[in-house]
Amino acid sequence: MSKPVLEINDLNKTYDTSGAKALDGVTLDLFSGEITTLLGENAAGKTTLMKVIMGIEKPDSGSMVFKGKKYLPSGPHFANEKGLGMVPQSIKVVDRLTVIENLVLGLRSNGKNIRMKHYRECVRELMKKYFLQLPLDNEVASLSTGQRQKLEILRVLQNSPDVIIFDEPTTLISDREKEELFEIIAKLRSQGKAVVFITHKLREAFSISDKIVVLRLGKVVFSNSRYKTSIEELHELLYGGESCTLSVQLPTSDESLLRVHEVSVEGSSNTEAVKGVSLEVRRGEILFVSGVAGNGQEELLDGIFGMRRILSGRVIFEGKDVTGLRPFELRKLGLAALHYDRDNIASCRDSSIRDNLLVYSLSNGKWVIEEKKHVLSARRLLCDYGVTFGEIEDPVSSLSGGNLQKLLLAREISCEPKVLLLGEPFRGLDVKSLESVKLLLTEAKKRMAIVAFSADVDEALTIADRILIISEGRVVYSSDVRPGLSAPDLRKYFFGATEGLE
Amino acid sequence: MLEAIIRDTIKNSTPIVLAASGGLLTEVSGWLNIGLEGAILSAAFFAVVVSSSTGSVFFGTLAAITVAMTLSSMIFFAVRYLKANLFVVGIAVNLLSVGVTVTLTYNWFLSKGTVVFSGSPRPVVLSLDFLTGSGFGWLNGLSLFDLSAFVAPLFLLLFFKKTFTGVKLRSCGFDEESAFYSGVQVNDLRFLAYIGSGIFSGLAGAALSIPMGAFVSNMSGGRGWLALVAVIMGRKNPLIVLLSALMLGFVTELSVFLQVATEISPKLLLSLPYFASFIILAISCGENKDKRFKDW
Repeated sequence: MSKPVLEINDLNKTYDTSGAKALDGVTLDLFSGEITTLLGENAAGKTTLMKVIMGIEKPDSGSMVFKGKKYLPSGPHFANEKGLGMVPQSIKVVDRLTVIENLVLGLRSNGKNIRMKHYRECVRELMKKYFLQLPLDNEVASLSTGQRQKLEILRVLQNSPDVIIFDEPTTLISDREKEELFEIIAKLRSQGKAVVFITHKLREAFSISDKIVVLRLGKVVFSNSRYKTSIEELHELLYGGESCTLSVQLPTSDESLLRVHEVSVEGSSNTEAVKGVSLEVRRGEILFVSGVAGNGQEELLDGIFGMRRILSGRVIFEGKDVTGLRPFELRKLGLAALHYDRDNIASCRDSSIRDNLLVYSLSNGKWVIEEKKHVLSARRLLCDYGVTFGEIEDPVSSLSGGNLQKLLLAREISCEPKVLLLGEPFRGLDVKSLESVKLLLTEAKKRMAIVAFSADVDEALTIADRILIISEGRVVYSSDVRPGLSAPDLRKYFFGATEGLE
Repeated sequence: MLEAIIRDTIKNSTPIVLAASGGLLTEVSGWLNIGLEGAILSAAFFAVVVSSSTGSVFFGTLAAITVAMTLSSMIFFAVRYLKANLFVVGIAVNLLSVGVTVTLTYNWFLSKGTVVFSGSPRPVVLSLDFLTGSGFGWLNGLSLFDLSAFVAPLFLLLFFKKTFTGVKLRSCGFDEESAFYSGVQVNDLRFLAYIGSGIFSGLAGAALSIPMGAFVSNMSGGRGWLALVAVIMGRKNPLIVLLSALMLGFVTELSVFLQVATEISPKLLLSLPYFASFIILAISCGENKDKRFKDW
């Protein structure tokens, strides 16, 4: 066998803030022309490992050898210069710069002196080569999530690095974009690059990788060629063979809690993102609003919850017109929402876990905070919802994506709203957390009505009572979930090709 | 008369424009330099001292730039390595400058107020006969400092838009985390911005004291603060920064004129630039509009 491009020897890393051991003696070899998939639950150390490779985190001990030389990265810049690139988990692009300016940020200098004019030509060629088309002079703020990710991929590829890391790239994009991404990854392999693909979705891992590495609690527990293993074996390794089935159906009451009538919502820059959408939910049911991301689902949630202007139509909550009320007024009435944007809007990153969890019960009009009672109830909630954390006073930013998700769900459900709006409740969850979140929701729907906005139809089918598909701001499909309804059937409606069935 | 007003406005604006250009560089990098006022003051002192003792405007300016660069690097290193608060360190530098210049004038020249260097060299001024009466007569009498003040914002405009370093620098101010992940050396670029800010505020200090051939205690007289106002009004656009700084220079000039022409209390008139900037800042919605979350 040839020599590995990057050898990772016995890396250890313990986080100071939480004392959690994120990497525990990780040893790994990456080879050219091979796709290595890193599998693991949330907080298994996948992202930490990549951050160490890119030099964002410093390991406590251990060493790395890149192309036969000792490799001690000091940051993404250093890694870029050497020939390693990463597409990070949460999208990191500068909104206020144009696409081409964002590409400049990641350009490796390596002595060449390219002029701006010439650079544009280079980028055009690159876009042609990888079939990634982007409007170069548009501000990034106007780009969709999928386009932003493409921008990140281009930013890495322009340096033609030898090692390319994709950190959970499939959580944010639609199925079609996923296929495009896999094509790019396959192309990179044929060019002899070493590709690292991080995911917690078994099927994805299986479909594209050559080698599969499983991380658990910072340790490599499995590393083998894909052809010498099976989905069952991996599932066993990852989740200890646990599996649970859900019973979903519940009798729904007739009382309609939330009615949205012909609502149109303002999009960015004076456009109409939602065009006359109507929906209705009752207590005891979960309604999924699905469709390709960026077709108005986010704006609909924002509109109903008073965070975006409603241009026409009405929102009726328990028979009362609540159109255009502010979020805190809606919360008082019993309408709660978990926003899509976990990091910036749904949570306050620098505040403690406790404060984030209790922010609503703290604003109940009392003057004095009952410290002990609050800490107790916070601990109980965290325990009930299975959130793994270091200290209750740690900032929320110390939590992994899945744990933050559970914490926020705990917060919203524990407020006992009558109607709960959820933006992408399953984004970024591993199988174990996914099951527990689903259980939580089926439990919660006995007491409230839930409207979930999610592009993930497969998951929607396992838990929803009704599904609504939105395409280009209009409802194109609406139906009860019944046996025999399959995800591919639903996807046909995604692009609004057919008129909706009623 | 009109020519004189234009010329005086420009001469008054020169230090403000130069300092604002330096401030703009740091604002764009994400860490606005609060120490402009102190940098100007120290630079002005050393500019006139060195130029009179060496007999060369060039060496005086060089000394001013060195001093201002040292001060702004001090701010930068304290914030970067000692994790100090940017505002606190900036203000500390301003206070330090007042103290150091007063102490040194007393120790070296036995004066606590004004020191006049009668033999000190003055900068060359433009004097072209054909300009007189052609509508550009106000150009006569402007020194190289004044001209550099007009080139500086234009230079920055090109730098921000057309060079890779400029683009990278702007990214630090917009979203440092994304910039870092993209592979920008955020703090190294900020250091560059602080060095640049030192150069510009050094020039501003030199432009203040060398043409006068004297040092007056606290002679920067709030120009550094006015420059900060211009930077904030300019919303990261060099041309708007230039216009704001010119406007502030004009209001300063106006207050001097009104002191002579009217009987309004001169102390009140001295605060005119601050009133003007207050009103303008209140009227212009500024960048905060985007940042603030909607709560109507």
